[in-house]
This record gives sequence, C-alpha cells and structure tokens, in this order.
Amino acid sequence: MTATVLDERLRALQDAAREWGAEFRTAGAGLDADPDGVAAHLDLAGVRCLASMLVPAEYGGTGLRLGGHRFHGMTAIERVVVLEELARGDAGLMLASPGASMSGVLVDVLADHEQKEWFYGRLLERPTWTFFALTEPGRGSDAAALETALSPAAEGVHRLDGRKKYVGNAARAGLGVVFARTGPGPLGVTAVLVDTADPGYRAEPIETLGLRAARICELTLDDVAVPAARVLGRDRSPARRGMWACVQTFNRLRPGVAAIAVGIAAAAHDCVLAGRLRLDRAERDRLENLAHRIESVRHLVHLSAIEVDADGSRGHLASAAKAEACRLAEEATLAACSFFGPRARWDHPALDKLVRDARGVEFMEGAGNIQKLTLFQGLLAGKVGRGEPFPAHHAKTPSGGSSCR
Amino acid sequence: MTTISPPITATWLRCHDIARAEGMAPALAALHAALPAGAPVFGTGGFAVLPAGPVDGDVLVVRTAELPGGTVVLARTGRPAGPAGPVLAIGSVWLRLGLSGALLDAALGYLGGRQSGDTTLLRRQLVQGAVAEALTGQLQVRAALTADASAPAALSYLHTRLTEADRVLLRLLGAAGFARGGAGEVADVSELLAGAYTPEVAA
Repeated sequence: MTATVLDERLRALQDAAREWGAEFRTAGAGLDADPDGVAAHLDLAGVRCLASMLVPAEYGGTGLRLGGHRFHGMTAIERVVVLEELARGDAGLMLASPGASMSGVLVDVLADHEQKEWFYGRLLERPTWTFFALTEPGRGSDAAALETALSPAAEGVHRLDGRKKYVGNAARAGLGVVFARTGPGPLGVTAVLVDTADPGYRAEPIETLGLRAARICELTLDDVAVPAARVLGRDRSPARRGMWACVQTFNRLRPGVAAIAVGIAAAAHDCVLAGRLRLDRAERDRLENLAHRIESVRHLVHLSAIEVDADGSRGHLASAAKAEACRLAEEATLAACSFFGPRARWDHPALDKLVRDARGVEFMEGAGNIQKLTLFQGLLAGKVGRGEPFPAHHAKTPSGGSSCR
Repeated sequence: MTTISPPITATWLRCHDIARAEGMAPALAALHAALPAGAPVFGTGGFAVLPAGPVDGDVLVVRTAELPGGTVVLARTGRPAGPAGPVLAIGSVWLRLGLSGALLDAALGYLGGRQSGDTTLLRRQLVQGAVAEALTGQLQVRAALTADASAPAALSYLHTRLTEADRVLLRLLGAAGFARGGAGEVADVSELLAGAYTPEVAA
C-alpha cells in the first residue's frame, strides 16, 4: 500500500478526485487556447465538486456524497486532496472553475451570519465564479502595504477606490472579496464583499504564459458603493479582522496552492510514464527518484493542511510546503522534458503547457523566498523545527467534515 | 494507512531525539539495542558505523571519528551480509534526521554569534533563506517517515534529501565545518552511514 497520512474517508475522496482529474486533462488542453471556453465544462464532475465546496450544510450546501461520507470542503485537508488531483488533470481548469474558492475561506473565517447567507445564497443559485483581490500593482501581496481605500460615507454606504492585479476569474465572477485600507497601520486593513454588477467595478484579463483558463485580471475599483453590511468582520474588533484575518486565511489557503503545485509535478511524471514506454536503468532510477520526491512533498502538504485545520495560526509548515512544492513543480516539469530530448516542449504540447503552468504557482499566495523568510521566523520563534512537527496528526485530530475555524 | 508497530516507532523517535541532543554514538547504541537478538549491525555491503568499542577479529576498522557525544568507528566485515533489516534501514534515516537537526542547531548558534558588518550572519536574508531551505528538507523527510514511507527506493531518496539539507547547512558554517571532530565531521560520517544502510533497489 502506498504510504499516506490520509484516513480511509479522505482516500475515498482522493480516488474520486483522481477520476475527475482525468476528464480535466482532456478539457484543459482546449482552454489553453480558448480560456473563455470554460463555461462548456460546467457539467464535469470535478467542476461541480469545486462549485459545491466551501458551502456549509447549515447554509444549504449539499456538499459531495461519496460512499457513506459527505464532504463540504470546509477543511484544508479536504481541499488539498481534491485540488491536487484536479490540478494533476489540469491546473488551469481547476483554477477556472466556479465556486467559493479562496473567498470562501475568508468568508468562513470572518463573515457574520447575514453575510454568509448572502454569499452562499448567491453561490447556490447557479454556478458562480468568485474573485479574491488582495494583490496590488507595485505592492504585490503584502497586505500591510496595500493602498486600495475604503472610505466611510453617508447613510451606511462606503466607497471603494483602487487597483488590484493578478486576480483570477475577476472578469467572469459574480462576487468576491476586496482587501482595502480604512486607515494607516495593520489595524486599518479590512476586507469587503463586492458584487461585480455594481457600478465602478471593472476587470480586464491579463494575457499570461500559463494557467490561462483562470483568466487572471487587473481590477479597477472606481467609487464602488459598499454597504456597511458587506464589511467583513464588522462585528469584531479591528485586531480580529484585518491582518489577523489575512494571516488566518492565507495559512489555510497555502496548503491548497502547494497541492496544485504537487498536482502539476505529478502530471509531468505521468507524461513521462505515458510517453516513454521503454526506459533504460538510469532513466528508470531518475524517474523513480522524481516519484519519491513528489510523494514526500505530498506528505508534507497533507500534514501542513492537517495542522492549519487544527490551529489556523499554525502556518509555518504550510510555508515550507508551499515553497518546496512550487520548486518541485518547476523542476519536475523541466525534468520531465529531459526524458524527451531538447525539443520536448516543441514535440509535446501537454508537457509544454505543464512547464508554463508550473511557473504560475510560484507567485500565488507569497513567492518562495517570502515563504522561506516566514519559515525562518517560525524557527526563531520556536514554532517549528523543534519537537514534534505534526502534533495535530499525532493527536489524531479529526481532519475533515467540520468548519475550519 | 499502513500500521507501524508502536514500539519500533518509539525506538526510532528516541533514536532521533538522542541523535539531536546527544550525538551519533549514543543514538547508534539506542538503535542497536532495538535489533533482534543476533541480528547483524552491518549493512548490505558489509559496512557499519559503530559506537567505539571492542570489535570482532574479522572486522576491520577503517576510520575512527571523535564526535560530539562519543567516538564512532567506521568498520567493514568480510562476512556475508544480507540487506539491512527495517530497524537499521528505516532507523538510520531517523537517526540521520536527528543529526541533521543537531547540525541546524549548531548552525544557528554559529551564525547568531558571527558578526557581518553591523549585524550577525543570522540576520542576513540570504542566510535565513538557506536555513529555511534546510529546515524544509528536514520537514519533508519527517513527513515521509510519518506517512510510513519504507520502500527501499523511498528510503534511498530520503537519505539523499537529508544529505542535501546537511550540505546547505554546512555551506553556512564555512571553514568551521571542515574541521575534524565537529559538526562538519558528523555530517560526513552521517553520509557514510547512509551509504552503509541504504537498501539496494532492485533492477
């Protein structure tokens, strides 16, 4: 049996997602040339799975039923299992699918009952894309440096002004979240729910090298009206919404990005298995070595997800997993090319696409060098690198089925 | 999920912790104490790293290393040797992971005390990135052991990954890591330990 930290319930989810991922591979190739064709794939089981994830049962989410198990994708470990297998099929289509996605994690962490009813209600009406706007031109994903402004205005309506960049699905989304500043310093950071139909919201796709189906966009927010009821964490103190919410949310999202990277690496490995039927001893050893590298990074990703599910502030492992997985994705896709000779990317379009897609995960949710610095700070603070690194796994903490808070 | 025998897992963990806190010789002693009675301490090629002490007449000591925690000897035997059992094959990865942790501790101490301009080396981002890279390698190996990776090729990969992590840390130690008897020699013997107990992968 393959080594794993997943229990029987999560392995059932993994097996199902693997089958759905195979369908993604076929569909994804076309979307690389025609990113707007994603609407033709809404009936794929994997797309329907993503559309249903992160909507809790108490708000009408039906989740997924597999055997005797039900999954709502409210935990990082459930999302990681699904995202890796779907990205192994096609990371572009996975990222281009409708659903709560990254916004769903923030809503779960920070939204009040009324906001959740609005957000989940919209998602349940029909397959709906969401967007997650943090990154700004010239400022990257540093929440502390963001400049988009949320100004208080009369009669309980705020005004939102600013620009955001590298926001997936923003041009096809119905709603999403925007991080903005209400004042100076870390306590001045907040997040709001935005309806893309509101005047002043404009999203323009940016042509990208890979992950093209995700239609990464630049956003302009020009005096967008935001009712006070859409300010996330409005019922909390500033210390428990802005930067705190960012950290909690990104810690929970990071294993998912790492899982996408592992999926891309595994797809590259699959390409070699399918395209090179006869390997000499040295090639077999090299390919097997790559397989073990992928597997060990996968274990780290799984364990990092289990840790953030147990404690949302425990994100240092996820930083390690994210940095390592993204490097793996780049190196695995290049290594896969080496099995086909110098013209591998010319001769094998699927491999060429994987090489391009792999570059796209590096900058998501903090580049590798930033993750390394985060990990280093965790080491100095004694949060990682000493004692049992995976306490939640060892304590047999339940790893699925409940809300991630 | 494969089930690992809890007593053996506890032994490996203890071996890891002793390696990190006390050094290679006491960790090897703990590992050898867990071997079934009469089981050989030599790996597939007839090589072994042993705590210093009397050896059988047919055993040749090829190197003696005076390391923190006690002296070890690198030895070989002409006796026919089969593949290392799981205690040594998997235990040697746990032991090396503990040694790698000790190397990380040594590097942090060294870098924190070494001035570079108006600050210490540990405050240089380039150095911090390298430390994080090594720690990531250690976490990756620990994750695989936690998931019960035990196939010969998987163990071989984990040894390679530990050597990579160690080498990143050794480069941070500069010439201090090149002197005998210190952290640099522990890492060198650790690599030889990997060579002795890495299982052969079938062709």
